[in-house]
Amino acid sequence: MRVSKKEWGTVYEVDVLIMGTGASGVGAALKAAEMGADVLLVGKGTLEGSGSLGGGNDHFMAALGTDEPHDDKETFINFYMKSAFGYKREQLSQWYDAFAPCLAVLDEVGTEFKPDGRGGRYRSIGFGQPGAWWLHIVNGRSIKRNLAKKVRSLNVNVLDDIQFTSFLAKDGKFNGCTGFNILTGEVCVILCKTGINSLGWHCQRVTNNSTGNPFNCWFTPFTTGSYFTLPYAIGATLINMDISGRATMLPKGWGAPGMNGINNMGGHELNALGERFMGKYDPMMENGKRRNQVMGTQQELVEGNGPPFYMDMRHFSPEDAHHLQYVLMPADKETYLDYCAARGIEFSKYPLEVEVGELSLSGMLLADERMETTVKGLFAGCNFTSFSGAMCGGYVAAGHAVEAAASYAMGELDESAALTEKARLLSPLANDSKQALGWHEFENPIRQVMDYYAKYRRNMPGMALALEKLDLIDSYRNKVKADNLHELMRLHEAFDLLVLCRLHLQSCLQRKESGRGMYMLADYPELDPNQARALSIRQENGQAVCAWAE
Amino acid sequence: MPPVFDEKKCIRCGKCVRDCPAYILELDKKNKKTPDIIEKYKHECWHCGNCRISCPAEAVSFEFPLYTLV
Repeated sequence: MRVSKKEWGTVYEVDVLIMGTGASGVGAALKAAEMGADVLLVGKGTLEGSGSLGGGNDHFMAALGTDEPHDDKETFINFYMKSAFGYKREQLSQWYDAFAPCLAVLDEVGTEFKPDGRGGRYRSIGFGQPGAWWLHIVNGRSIKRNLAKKVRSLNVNVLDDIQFTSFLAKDGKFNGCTGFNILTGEVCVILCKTGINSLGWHCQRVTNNSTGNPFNCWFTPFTTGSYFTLPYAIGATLINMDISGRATMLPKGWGAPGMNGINNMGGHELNALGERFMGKYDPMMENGKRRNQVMGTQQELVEGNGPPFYMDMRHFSPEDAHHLQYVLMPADKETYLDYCAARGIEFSKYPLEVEVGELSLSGMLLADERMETTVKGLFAGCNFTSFSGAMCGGYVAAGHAVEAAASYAMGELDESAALTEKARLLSPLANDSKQALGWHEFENPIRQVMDYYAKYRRNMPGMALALEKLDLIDSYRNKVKADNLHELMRLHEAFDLLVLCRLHLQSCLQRKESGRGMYMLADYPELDPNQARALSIRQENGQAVCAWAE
Repeated sequence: MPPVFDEKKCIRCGKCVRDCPAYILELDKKNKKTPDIIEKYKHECWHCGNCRISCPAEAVSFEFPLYTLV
């Protein structure tokens, strides 16, 4: 890596650039280091605590090829080919192949898995999958620390505290990115031969849960869409921006995950009338598809059968109830037991009150068998789901990015463009107008629009109107201010959020059916087999262009 | 929801400040005995617990605000 100081900032030149330091970025760094690449890992926060994994994780999904039922590669590939659009068999095959090396690293850094009593690892079934693929992690709160320590011990350059502001490309080839240091304000241009986008596919602050605080959410609230918006701006094609929205049940009042453990260990969801209702919505009850649980609970809510809703674990054995509450849940979020203490929660004695949480958005970067996106030299690190998908996805993408770096040229510095970008990204700091909007005043209306017009129940005219209102918010983009670098960071997150929401709605307006995304349309309430395809969106001459993928 | 610091245990090492992914903590300049939560950003706490994980002195605990308890 070469570092050169300029009057206006710092320029880094590195063969392979990894953007994002969560689980995907860590997986990518491990692979790049293993291959001896010249690599730079860049992200917001510190490597020790960034990303959703920074809050902990209680499960790692892996089919292991044992003699257990449905534990083979073919079953794994077939499940994901059927459950989501846009995957290629070869991509899923590589995800499966990455399980073993990623698990080896997790073992090496001291990850403790619940034993099965027979010398192996205990695994459970979840999300309507055929096999017991979910390994239970006992010390999830320390995983990110332990992985960070490992990465810092390798020959990997790490740059913390960077807010990304743009991707660079020329003639359809990825050249690097720009950003600024959140603590010092220094602008940086990072040039590379190839890049891995590990910026996180699970985007938050789109809607609120019952607490009204968008930071009190399920996944990290500091990921607001840059995985999609930055590549979109340089011409990348995105898919599934309409139907990949995610939601889950949350312990009431607190944005914590943990439903995977509750559901796959056999928790019963009850409505206000004490009825266990999930049989109406999924043949596998609570342990079926998460979409069915969220939409089923939402239907009960519309019918007045709740709130409240509960997850009842009182029928668990004392050992299972203890394992779930005192091992798995705090492994998923470090402060879980503080929340339990504050609310007097005890799984073995009382049902846990839950709510349908916030809706977050997601999608995929259209990528080939080697995870290379439609922008040459840019590889998709976050196209696979869950902690396993993130870590393995980064690992797989990095393998191809390192190989491809041998045949791609280093991005060239365009100093004039860098100065223009510096002026753009810092401009809110210079806005001293008394009428200027702070980041809250710019971001909150985005969520107002999404909460009101585009949550779990919607219709086409409502989404079209929502887009118009997002256009209005967009017209205030040059009327914002930041009093300091912290607020400047939040503003750039809000810019990403606005584009993300637009991409979602623009895509949703093309899909005239219900049943695939995390929402129901009143004007198109049925599933349409003819729309069993991925929908793509890309930018052409400044306009969004949607198309049905083959 | 934001962390609470025990001034008898806190050694002012600043590790919690460094590892907060929300950038809402600071070691104040007046040599107060514990880190400060930057008041206007306290609602950006994700209660991820990184400050507590980073703390070598077991000086961090959590208080959940009323809106998470109703």
